Amino acid sequence: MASELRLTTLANNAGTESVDTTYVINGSAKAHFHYSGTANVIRESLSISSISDDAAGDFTVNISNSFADQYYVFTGHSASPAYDIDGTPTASAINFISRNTAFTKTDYAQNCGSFMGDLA
Amino acid sequence: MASILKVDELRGIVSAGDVTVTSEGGAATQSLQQGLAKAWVGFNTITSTSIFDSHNVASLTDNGTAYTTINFSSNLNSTGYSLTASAGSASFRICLDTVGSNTDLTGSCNTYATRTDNGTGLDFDKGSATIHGDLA
Repeated sequence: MASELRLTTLANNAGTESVDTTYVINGSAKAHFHYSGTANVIRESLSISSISDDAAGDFTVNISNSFADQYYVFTGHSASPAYDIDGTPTASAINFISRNTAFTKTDYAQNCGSFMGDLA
Repeated sequence: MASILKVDELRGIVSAGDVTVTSEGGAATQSLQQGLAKAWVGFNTITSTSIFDSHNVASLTDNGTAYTTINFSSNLNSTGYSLTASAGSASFRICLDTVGSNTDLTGSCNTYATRTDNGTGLDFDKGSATIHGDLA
C-alpha cells in the first residue's frame, strides 16, 4: 500500500545534518539521459519518453513528465569536442547538437544530459 | 506547522529502492532515488590534480595534460550513467568532453579538456562533473 509523508525537513537520526525538503524536491534531477548518437540507443534515462535521431549530430530529447515551462536548467555533455542546444527548448523537448572540431554536426557514442527545474 | 523527520535511511515499502516524490505542480510523481546525483566533484588540474569538494568520489587520476579519470567510491550499476561536466580556464575557452566513451567503467569515468579555438588539450583551473544514474 502506498503511503505519503508530508515534511518540511529531513534530518539524520542524530540530528546533526538536515535538509529542507524543498531542496530535496527542487534539487533532484527531474530527467536525465545517456544516449548513443552512433547507435541511436538510449543507454540509461529518467523521465525520457524517446530520443529522435533528426540527422547526423542532431537529436531531440522528449521528456515524459513535462516541466512547468521551458525555462528549466539543462546541462549537457558529449564525447564530441563541441556541443550546443538548437532552437528554443519546450516544456517537454530539447534539441541537442554534437559537433566535431570543424563544428560540423557529427554523431558521437556518448551524449548525456540532466534537467533541473519544476515539473508541471 | 513545520515537520521534521529524523532518519538515517529512506526505503520504499513496495520496493526498497523506490521512493516517489510529487512534482512541484502536482501533476506527476517520480523516483526520488533516480533524481538524486549519485556523484559530483569540483576539481582542478593546473598544478596538481586536486578535489575542491565532492560526493561519492574516491579520487582523481591525472593521466596527463587535460586527461583526468574520476574514480567513484560506490560504483554505478552500468556504464550507461549520465555524466555532465564543464570546466573553466583563465586563459582560454575550453570544452570538457569525454574520453574513451566505450571504455568508461562503472567505477570511473574519463574527461578530457580541449581549447575550443584549436582543439589542443590543456589543464584547467576549475572543473565540475555530476553523475546521474543507478547505483549498483
